[in-house]
Amino acid sequence: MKSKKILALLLTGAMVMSVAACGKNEQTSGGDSNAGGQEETGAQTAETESGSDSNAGGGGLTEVTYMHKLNGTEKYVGNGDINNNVYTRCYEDELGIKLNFTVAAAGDDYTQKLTMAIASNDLPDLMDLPAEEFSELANAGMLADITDSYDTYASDLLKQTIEVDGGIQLASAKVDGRLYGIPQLSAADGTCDLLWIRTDWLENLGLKAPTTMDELIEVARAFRYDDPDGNGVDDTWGIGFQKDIVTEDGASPGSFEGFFAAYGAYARAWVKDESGKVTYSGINEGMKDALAQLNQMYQDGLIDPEFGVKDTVKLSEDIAAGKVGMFYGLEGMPWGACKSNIENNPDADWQCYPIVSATSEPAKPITYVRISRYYAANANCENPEALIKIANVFQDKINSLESTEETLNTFGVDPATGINFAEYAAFAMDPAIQKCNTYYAEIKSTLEGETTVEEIHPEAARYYKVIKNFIDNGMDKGQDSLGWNYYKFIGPEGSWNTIINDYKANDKLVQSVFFGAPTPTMSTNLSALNKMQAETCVNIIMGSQPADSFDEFVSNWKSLGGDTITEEVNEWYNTTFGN
Amino acid sequence: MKVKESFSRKVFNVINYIILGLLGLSCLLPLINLFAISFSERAMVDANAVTFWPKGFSTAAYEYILSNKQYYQSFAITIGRVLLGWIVNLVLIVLVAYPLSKDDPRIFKCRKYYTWFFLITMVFNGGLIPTYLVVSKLHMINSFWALILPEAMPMFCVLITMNFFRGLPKAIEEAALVDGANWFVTMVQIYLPLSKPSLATVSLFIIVNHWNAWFDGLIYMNLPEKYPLMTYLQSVVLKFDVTKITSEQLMLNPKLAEVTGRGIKGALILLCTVPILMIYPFLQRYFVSGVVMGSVKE
Amino acid sequence: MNVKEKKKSWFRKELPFHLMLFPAVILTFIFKYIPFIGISMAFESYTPLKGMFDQKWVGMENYRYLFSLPGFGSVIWNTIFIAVMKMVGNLVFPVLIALLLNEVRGRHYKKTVQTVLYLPHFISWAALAGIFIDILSPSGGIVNQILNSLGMDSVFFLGDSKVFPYTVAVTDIWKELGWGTIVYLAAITGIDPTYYEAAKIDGANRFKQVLYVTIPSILPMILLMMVLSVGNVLQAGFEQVFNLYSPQVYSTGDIIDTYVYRIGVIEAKFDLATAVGLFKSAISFVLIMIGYKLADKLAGYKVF
Repeated sequence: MKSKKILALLLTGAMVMSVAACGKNEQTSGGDSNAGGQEETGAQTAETESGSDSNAGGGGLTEVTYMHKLNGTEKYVGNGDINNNVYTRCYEDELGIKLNFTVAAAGDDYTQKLTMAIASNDLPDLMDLPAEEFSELANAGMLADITDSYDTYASDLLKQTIEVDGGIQLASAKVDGRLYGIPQLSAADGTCDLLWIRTDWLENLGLKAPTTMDELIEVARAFRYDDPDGNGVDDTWGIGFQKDIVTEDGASPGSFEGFFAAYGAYARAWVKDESGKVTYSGINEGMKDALAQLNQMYQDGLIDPEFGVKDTVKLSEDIAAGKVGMFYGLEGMPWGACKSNIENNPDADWQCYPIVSATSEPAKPITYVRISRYYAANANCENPEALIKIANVFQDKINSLESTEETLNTFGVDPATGINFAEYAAFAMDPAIQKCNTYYAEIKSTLEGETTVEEIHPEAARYYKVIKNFIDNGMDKGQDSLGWNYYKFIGPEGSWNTIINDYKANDKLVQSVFFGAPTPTMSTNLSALNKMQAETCVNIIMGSQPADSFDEFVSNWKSLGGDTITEEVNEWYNTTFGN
Repeated sequence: MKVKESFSRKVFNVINYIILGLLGLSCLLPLINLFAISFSERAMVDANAVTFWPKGFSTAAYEYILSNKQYYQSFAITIGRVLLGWIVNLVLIVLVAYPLSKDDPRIFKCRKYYTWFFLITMVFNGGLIPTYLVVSKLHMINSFWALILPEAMPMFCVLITMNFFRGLPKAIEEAALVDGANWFVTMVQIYLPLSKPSLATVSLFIIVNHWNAWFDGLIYMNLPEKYPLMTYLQSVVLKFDVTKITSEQLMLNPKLAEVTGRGIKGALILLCTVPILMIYPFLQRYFVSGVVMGSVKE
Repeated sequence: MNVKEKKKSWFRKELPFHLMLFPAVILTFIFKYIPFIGISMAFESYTPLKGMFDQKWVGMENYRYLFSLPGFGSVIWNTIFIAVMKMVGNLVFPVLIALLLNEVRGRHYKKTVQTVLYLPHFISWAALAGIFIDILSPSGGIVNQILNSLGMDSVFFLGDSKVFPYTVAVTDIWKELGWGTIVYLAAITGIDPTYYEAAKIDGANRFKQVLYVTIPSILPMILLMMVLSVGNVLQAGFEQVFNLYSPQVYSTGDIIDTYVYRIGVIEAKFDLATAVGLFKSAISFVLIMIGYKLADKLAGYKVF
């Protein structure tokens, strides 16, 4: 009996002890000394910190805590970790900022952790915030006004990178004209759909790439029924689609947006019309025609009857297995299923084409701004300018034209191991919008002998070498699928250059103008509306609902909150860009 | 001694063997499929060409995972929590199940109050944020105990154990009590040895629960390097969406496409689950061969 | 004086039990009962920005909102339909399989089958979904190939809204089958062998032994499982449905958990999440109580 009592006591005792122990930890790391941080970061930091003991005196290191959204693919070498790597050391040595990552998680989990931190009133100095939380915190006065810090500390390169779109995305981070965060720039131009086609199938059947919807359907019919792969088996589909028609962040391969665009409609876009009003294009009249056409194609057997249960991964499998020869997708497809297809069958070849139109109007693909996060500082943070200083580092190391191959290898991708050190950066902002263009131009002029490798950006030079090697070795894609990748992405036949630049030059890109935090009615009603829209679309395509039922959906959509959402979106647009 | 089996019995046996065999096979095949995928070349996996045998044999997936120290860190954390959690849970389960198994009100009057006190927590819960706040106020964030104490007494296992205890013949206990043994002694010396099958069963549940639990690791651990294995698997790998990688990221690092494919996922699932699968055959012997209870009659 | 003394001796008699329960009571109080304060969120408009006690009280507004959502009624119905099928299947089949396993003579065969049966429990739905899409495919999936060879038409198990709920139930029962047998196998092991000998002497064959010895002996365990499982009437299995469903089966396959997930409840709307949770808990509690009373009335056994 006694022993059991003791056990019970021990149990409660252990709990109390653990509580005490943790309390102690908390104290040291939360206090103004650096002792807590030292333990975690190991020898390297201990060394530097011992040299700057006079911390309280104002010089020396500024300690800043950071809540960071991870990519999920970070890999650390040796005894490095999130608080001890090439970037944290760089911040420390070059800026005197001791960055202490207190919370980090990847993907949706990060939102989860963020909510916990907000609920327990335990926000760090600096943080990454999704649009919704950013807008809440900024409006609640919980974020630091970084307008002046940005003006003072942001390097020209950083400003140039961030404001490349004319400050449109930056405007979404302002409240009453003051800046409360920096958006992670979204390369909106890269979100437009291209039409990807297997050129070897076109050749086998003696066809040309389609330029109108009618031609596209003929190609699809031939791909379906004329045995394009010549294997004598009926195992190919006309055109590949995946199941998500109404999806927040696009679905590639197998997107519907490029198809809808042929009819001047888009599933999820907020488009500004001639009168300057923003409207939801998912309820456009053109949508009905597009769905009716898809239904016809479905009945004709051109579309996999199982598309409704296949996600992008499943469709990618069909593409890689050589069952699909045409689909709508993003510019990066050479890295996805197409590459696997080539590796499995070196005779296969893919090329992208502009999307086609079903009307006399040219087809205009839609682009989306998707700001994955805002970088912001806590209103209680004593050194909000640290955010800007940290942001400069990535620009200097990676994006600067002055950066050398050596800095790239140290701060970017290690060519030997493939580990991407840039993922350690607390604040990584690619000039994604013009990066591909710049690199393409540089690679092109180098290939044509107008510039030399030494003159162009070392990152571009890296890609140039791969492409040059691919061309010099007879463009053998079976042997060098990676070379084929670069060639098709950023080389002479690259998607970005051949198509997207053309879209841009001819003013064919339509931008979805809403990219703020969800409006009040959106957060209450949008899910039900999306469900209704998704069901209507898939049912019309599969013929379980007549195309005319689309009109009923439209009126339901409007009455069940759609009209209110439209008003709210217009209001957001006018306050963000109106003045 | 052996009685000759009737014909119908033989037929039954054959059918029984076949049914169970087919069922078993259906359960084995998905795992074999994962195994084959994890050892195949990426392009083959991408084309969904792998069924039950690896195509284009490759160990790249395993090399990738095993070269990341996160796997070992998380593995060690999981082993620690399973061991400690198992001990804490089992002790508490027995300490609770034993008194609650005294369903005679003459022996333990307050039993039903305790039962309902615990039972309510099985159905109702305060939700994520309040629980998090409690753990956070106790300064257990980032601490090992956050993974153990909040769920220190799994009520389901208590009920099972209690049920077993109630099924044991009361005569032995009464005899012991008459001989002057107290409740603690009867619990330890009489009930525990007799309940090996039930303790093995709840041990299995506890161990598997602790092994598979991932959400608490995500909520209470602030940095991935402190994640238990299943949290690492869930949050870093399974939820990671290949389609979310931008082409710029891929241009910078083409290896990304390779390391996020199904091969890696398959390999990691196997690396995270096979260790726990080995537990079962070990505990199985306790509930396959019966415990001979002698000729005790109630 | 007499009463007092009696009380004292009663307390002394029960003291060991109280001591045994003490640690568990403390832990349960701290980690379960204190957080119950959070249930108030179901009646508040909760925003994490404010403290736990500074929230705006909205009464039943969250429930009014939930039940006014278009199609929420059908979502509840789908949930119950799928959950009840799972409930029944997950009760019946594990018992059946446990009994069948118990009839297997070959020790190695028995052990192997038992081990293999519980494997699917460990594979997440995210990983299984891809496999099921393949084997249940109407064109070329192995299940439909078997159906076709038996002269039946192909069934679109995951894409036909009439079939989808059954597909969900059957695949879930299959997945949890082996795991569910464990408690019964353990219970069977605990049966006193002398009962069987007595039955044999009475001339009972194997079937009768199962009927009159095995089943009655594991009945308490079956009853316990039954009572607990009626509480699952609103648990249709989020992870499974989420990984298997698609817009074309929303009409029969969308369940409460997937619906509220798409509203964004999991990440941000804790008031609604709590409201849904409380609703489900309350229903579970009532049903478990009913089950408890019924088991007591019909079988004369108090499961708790």
